[in-house]
Amino acid sequence: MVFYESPKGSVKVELGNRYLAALYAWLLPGAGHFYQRRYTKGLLFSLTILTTYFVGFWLGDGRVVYASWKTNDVRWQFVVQCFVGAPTFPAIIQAVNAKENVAPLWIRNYRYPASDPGGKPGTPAFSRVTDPKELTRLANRKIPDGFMAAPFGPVTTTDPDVLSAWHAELGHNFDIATLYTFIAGLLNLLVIYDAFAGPGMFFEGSEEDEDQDKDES
Amino acid sequence: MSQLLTSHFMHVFPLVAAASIVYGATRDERPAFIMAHILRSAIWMLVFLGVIMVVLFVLGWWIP
Repeated sequence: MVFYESPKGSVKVELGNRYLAALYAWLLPGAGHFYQRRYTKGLLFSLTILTTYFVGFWLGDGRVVYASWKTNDVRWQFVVQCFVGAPTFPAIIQAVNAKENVAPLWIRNYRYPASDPGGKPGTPAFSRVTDPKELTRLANRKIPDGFMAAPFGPVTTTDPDVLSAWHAELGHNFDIATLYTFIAGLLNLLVIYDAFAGPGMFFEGSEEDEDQDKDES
Repeated sequence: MSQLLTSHFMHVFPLVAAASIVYGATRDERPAFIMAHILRSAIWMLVFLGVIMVVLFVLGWWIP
């Protein structure tokens, strides 16, 4: 059994199997603390990080967490987002699927292909297909938008593509939602550390802490 | 003012709240100390971001 003890010995925490705690903390924010029976902190972390993540997810219409290493769309933010753990796993499944050139799973909607923008003047490229007749007409030419899947097809810097259609639909929210989910991942890194090594009381005994001690007593 | 309240600047508050709660709670184990850390880090972050905002605002006004 591993214990954490603060520099002045005022705090002692039972960490249990710290490797397992860190793994649980990564899989689900706060779960590592629940395993260590640090319920209040576990609940606080769980609520804060999952709320931040899902608010971002909602702002980005579920499109901002995806894994892609395609030319012109290296989604490096996913490396940090995936520290939120299980909520990001569908993106990994979709990325593995895409690597094997299989159509995305859990299709949410379809889009017009570049070669067939829908026939209506002013319709933006790669716009969503909502009419059931159009879905039938396009048959297998329509472009799928999978849940947490990377934008389908190549991404270019000169011509419209699915990613540019997402940006056009979401506007600023695409970046703000990315920020929310990114920060949730960064924060869970701190939580994983806390579950693995205990609280970071590096400055215990500093003037600030001593003032707090006096207030407490 | 109403424009500022509905602008994207408002996202700073939930994000600072989340960051300071998690950061504060990973600094200690005792609730009173955690609360103090949360408040301190929230104020620190808001002041830091505020200074950057003011500098950018001044630069934006100064540079034509």
